[in-house]
Amino acid sequence: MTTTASPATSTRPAPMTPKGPRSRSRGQQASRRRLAQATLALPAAVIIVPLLVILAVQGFDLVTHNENLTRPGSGDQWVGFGNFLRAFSDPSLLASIRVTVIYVVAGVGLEMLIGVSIALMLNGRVPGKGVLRALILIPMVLTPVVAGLMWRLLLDPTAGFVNYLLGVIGLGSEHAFLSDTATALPAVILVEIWQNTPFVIIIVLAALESLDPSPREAAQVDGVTGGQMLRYITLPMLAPVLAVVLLLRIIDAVKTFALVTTMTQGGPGTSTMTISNYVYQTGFQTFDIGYSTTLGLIVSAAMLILLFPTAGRLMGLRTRKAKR
Amino acid sequence: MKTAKAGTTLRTVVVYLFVIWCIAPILWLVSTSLKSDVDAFSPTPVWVFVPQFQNYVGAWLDGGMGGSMITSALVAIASSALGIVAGLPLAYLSTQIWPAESVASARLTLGILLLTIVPPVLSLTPYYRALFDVGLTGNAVGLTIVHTFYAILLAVLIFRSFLVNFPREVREAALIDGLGEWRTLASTILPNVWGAMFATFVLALIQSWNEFLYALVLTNGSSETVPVTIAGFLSFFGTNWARLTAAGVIGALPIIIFAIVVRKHMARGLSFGGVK
Repeated sequence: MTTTASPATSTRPAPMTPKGPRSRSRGQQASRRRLAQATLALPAAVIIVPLLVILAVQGFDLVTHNENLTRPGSGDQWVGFGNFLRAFSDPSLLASIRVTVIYVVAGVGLEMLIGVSIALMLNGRVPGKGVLRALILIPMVLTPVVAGLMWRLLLDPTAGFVNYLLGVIGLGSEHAFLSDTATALPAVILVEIWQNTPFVIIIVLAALESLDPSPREAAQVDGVTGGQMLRYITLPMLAPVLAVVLLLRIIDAVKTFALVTTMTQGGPGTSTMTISNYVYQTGFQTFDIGYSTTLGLIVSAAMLILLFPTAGRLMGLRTRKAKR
Repeated sequence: MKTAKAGTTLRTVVVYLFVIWCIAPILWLVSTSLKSDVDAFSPTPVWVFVPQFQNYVGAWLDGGMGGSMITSALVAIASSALGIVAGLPLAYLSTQIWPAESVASARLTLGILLLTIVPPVLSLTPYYRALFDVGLTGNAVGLTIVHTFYAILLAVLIFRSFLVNFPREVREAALIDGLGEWRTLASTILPNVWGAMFATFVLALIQSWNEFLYALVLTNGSSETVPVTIAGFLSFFGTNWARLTAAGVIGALPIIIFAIVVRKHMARGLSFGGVK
């Protein structure tokens, strides 16, 4: 796409460069150029900057006050770090962090395992591959609210198809999966896996197809087994892509909200209450908006500390001091 | 030779089972949406039934899906388009004007990455309060602004991944020819990033259409988007599952068809250049 343009650069003389009079206004010209460049950032800044200012100003106000919309005047009550102290001794926050960690580790872990396996199989000769790839896409783009409600009905103790199937094979047909504290979280995680494994498959499959085939061909000539090929050649070559996929899945899974809201609303008890659901509930069901914002801030800080350095490195950016 | 053949068969079986696992719930959703309400909630599956299209009529008219579809489409198209218009120049600035490995470029991209990682629950209450104060909640304007914000993040990361290896000499040549930055962007970069632009548009559209948390908080009644309306079909007083599933099919179908049609463009956009 660039072969026509690049040779021209070296040969073409700069048109308007009589030396003398120009040096006077060079500073002026540089600043005009800088200004023109700044306009490139303008459209994005128009949206991003006001929202960040709102976030900072409103956020500070909310975090330092004990505002509850059901108690008029509570917004004037300055509490300093009170909201943070309350958070650090809040068993519900701890419980929601625990639920979220289980959700992310089990959900994303299995998505990676299943997704990579299926991608490796799909990379071979499978009849009807084109159609299969199109079909696999569907769960991923299905509106999460619809996915949650659909599975809620599928898992229903009386009308659910899952219970019907279990009944047919003789495992009992009246499991109330979503109202049992032992099975509610695994059920939500199952839907997370159902919905997001295709994301892993699609990216890993695309990566497999763009891998340089020569190391694998060479290994084949040397007569390595399928397992050795996978362990020592294919997976190491895939590693950078797998790392990015894993990171993107973690970032997304921590934000989960729609599935839990539509399937269990965090219940029974708090057994499926993820962080997002807890913050939402605190802010918009008990209207404890000051505390809710504080919870959001703590969670965000934790996320950034855990993920940001790795994320920067994986996206090809140095997070340590850049060299130049 | 024999083991290779057995391997292929096994592989095919496993892959087909996986695809059935992906698709069967959807087929069941569609079939439920065509049943009468009694059959839809029957303890034993009703396999043979006369399709009941009035579920769809009910969801569209009484359930308000008609209005939400229009709102969702407007919000999704507007925020995706604005995201591209704002994101492309920023990606151009950070890969073509500043070298991609420069400090300024890295800082900008890290900033975008940071905003991508931060969970939306942080800004939920602050945005709600500020947008409520200026009358931008309860209609689609506030939501469009917030969705545009996320579309910009997506656009910058995708465009950056496409532009990071684009030779900077092209821009220098255009500048020497006397073009300004904006004209250079339009005449030399734009024709080379249609694929990235399409991928960004598709992903931003899906992201906005499916987004639930902000939509739930920032819109209500006549300004609800599709996910909020569908979630509203759940009722403590006996949910009409036939109508709910019909609403689900209506709400999800456009985006599913769209995604299948444009799937070739998605893989690279999805991984922000993780796949070349």
